[in-house]
Amino acid sequence: MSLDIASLGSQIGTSIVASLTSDSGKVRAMALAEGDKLALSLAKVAELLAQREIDGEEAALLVRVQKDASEAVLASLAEISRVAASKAVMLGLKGVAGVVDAASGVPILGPLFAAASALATAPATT
Amino acid sequence: MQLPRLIMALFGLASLTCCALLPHLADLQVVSLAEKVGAEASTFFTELAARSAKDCALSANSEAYVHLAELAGALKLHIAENHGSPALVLASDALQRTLADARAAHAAASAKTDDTNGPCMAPAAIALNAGAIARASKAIAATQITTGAQ
Repeated sequence: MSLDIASLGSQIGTSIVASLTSDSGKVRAMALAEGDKLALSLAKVAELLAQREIDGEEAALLVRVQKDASEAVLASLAEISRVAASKAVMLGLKGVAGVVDAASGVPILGPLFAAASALATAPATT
Repeated sequence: MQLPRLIMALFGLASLTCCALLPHLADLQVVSLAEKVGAEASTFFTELAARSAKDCALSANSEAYVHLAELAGALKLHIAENHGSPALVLASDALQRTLADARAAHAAASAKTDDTNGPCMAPAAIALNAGAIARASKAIAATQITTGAQ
């Protein structure tokens, strides 16, 4: 059995792009939401300062707290994006595993996905 | 591209991807520690907002900050020892700094007793710090919940 390599490449690419677009859209929305939360927090600090509920030193520290928290959130989103990229490649390959394995006459890709699936459902180590 | 070369390329890519997926399995310890930081901080700040002088001052609450810092330290250590991701290490480091700066803000508020709140933090400032720690800890826990759903 021969492989239509152009079609195969296109199928893998389409799967990867579709998966990444989906994940990056979600990550982008989460990043924008964090930006809104940071802006609201900074406005609240400015309001407290104007009302003399806090002084300049405390305001600066409260701003640092908000900046730290946003860094934690955005670094977490970067982690999610990194994993999304790996998942996208995996999905792209999964879509053509049947065709490739049939063409080669030897199950090359199928067992890899079965192994990954078994690992994903195994209890996480602590 | 000839078929054998294509198969070899796909095999190599799949192998790398499978290996790359290994550390992405949900780490329940990260989820547990991050959620614990968030829950205990929430309880602490809720109780702090209801306290009046002298119980609201930093000196009466320093143990709570130490405990929260220990939890965040355990989270960072676990991540450093079990994950290769710089992003996750950075996130846990930022959570630690969030807690340390929240304590510093409390110290600054308690040092000034001649304002309307005395040695207490302004309730709105407490709420800001509580919200910051909540979203930082939730985001770290969410990395595992998201990556585990494969």
